[in-house]
Amino acid sequence: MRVVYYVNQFFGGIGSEDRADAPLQVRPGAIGPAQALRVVEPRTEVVATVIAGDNWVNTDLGPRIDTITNTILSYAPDVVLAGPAFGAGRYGVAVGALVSELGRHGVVAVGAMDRNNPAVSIYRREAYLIDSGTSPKRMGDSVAAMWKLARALAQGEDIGDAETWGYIGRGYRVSVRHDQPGAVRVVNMLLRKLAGEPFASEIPWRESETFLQSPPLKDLRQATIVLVTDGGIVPCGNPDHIEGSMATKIVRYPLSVATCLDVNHGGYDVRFARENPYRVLPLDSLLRLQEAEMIGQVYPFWFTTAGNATPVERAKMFAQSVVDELNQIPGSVGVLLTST
Amino acid sequence: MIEEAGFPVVQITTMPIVAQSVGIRRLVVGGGIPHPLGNPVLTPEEERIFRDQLVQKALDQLLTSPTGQVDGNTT
Repeated sequence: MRVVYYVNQFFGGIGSEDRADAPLQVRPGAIGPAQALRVVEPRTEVVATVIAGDNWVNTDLGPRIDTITNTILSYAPDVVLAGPAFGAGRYGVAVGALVSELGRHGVVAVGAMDRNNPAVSIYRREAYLIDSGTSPKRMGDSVAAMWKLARALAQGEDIGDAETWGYIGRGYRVSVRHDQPGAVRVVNMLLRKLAGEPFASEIPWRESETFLQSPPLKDLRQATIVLVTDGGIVPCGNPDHIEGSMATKIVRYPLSVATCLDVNHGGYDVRFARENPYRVLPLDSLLRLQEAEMIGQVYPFWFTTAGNATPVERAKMFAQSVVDELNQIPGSVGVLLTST
Repeated sequence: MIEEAGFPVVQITTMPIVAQSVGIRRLVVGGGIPHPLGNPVLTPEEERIFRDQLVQKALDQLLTSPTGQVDGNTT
């Protein structure tokens, strides 16, 4: 089978964050994780490894995915594999978008990433995504699972439930044959429940989340604007030791210490923000607007964390601590959130 | 969550698809992933104007009820 493999600049060996803007390039043969595939299945021919920088892809997602797709199609692959992206958000979006797009062209494609990658909720319905977990140590297992699923899809096999194949559930129900009718199974389940024994529902319950929107502000000139960033702009020396990845806290700092700023974030190339932190934390613009009386006031503290592989539950905790403080501010309050 | 607590939020980001997936609807597309409020190819003065305009555009969104549209820029 002819395989084309997609990876980002890091796994393609081009470079780290400093090369995240690297445009699409194609290398003949297997590079990076594609080499793991040759261990799994020595007879497989990886005709090309397609590599693109995470920022290059995500800065203009639709057209760039089209470009990558057309390049891949020109190799007439039987199967395309992408990732694993593990917990990396931009890489995850690139993998998810590409696998989905290839599917629309009738090409068998399988990606991989951690089930908590933000791209999962966007693409899981369209794309087969193997759950890679967050650690690259399991790279070989993930590539093997990707290959197994892709080969089965290419050969037109019936794909069963997500758990058996190791992919992230796409939200579709698959009919399966049971030895016992539902009435027997549900009574058995009830008996186990009454006896205090463990039991598992056959229908996983997904809490649906709804998003309530707050009403708009009436007048910016009467409002207090609070600046929040996940771009890791901290006072020089990072006094509270906010972690650059999987941060455990969001911290507020008084604007008076913003005379010396640094950047602490492990998820993007921080050179531009180090050169000028206002490129992430637009404090200067807000203060000019305050000076011009276009806004009531800038809240005298900014909130900062490093949004990098942050679990959703922790992000909610951060939001709660911000809300606790916003509730103390009299009058109308609006939040400006900047994200890298 | 901040929205649910009653405070309107506007986000400046260069990856709107992720923001939309978590329900954020007041969005302005920034000037680049590592520099959402800047653009190193501009002169410092041009960049300052670019940033002021983005912030102004973002704050204006706090005055509106979100429609789900993404206010993009092509810089």
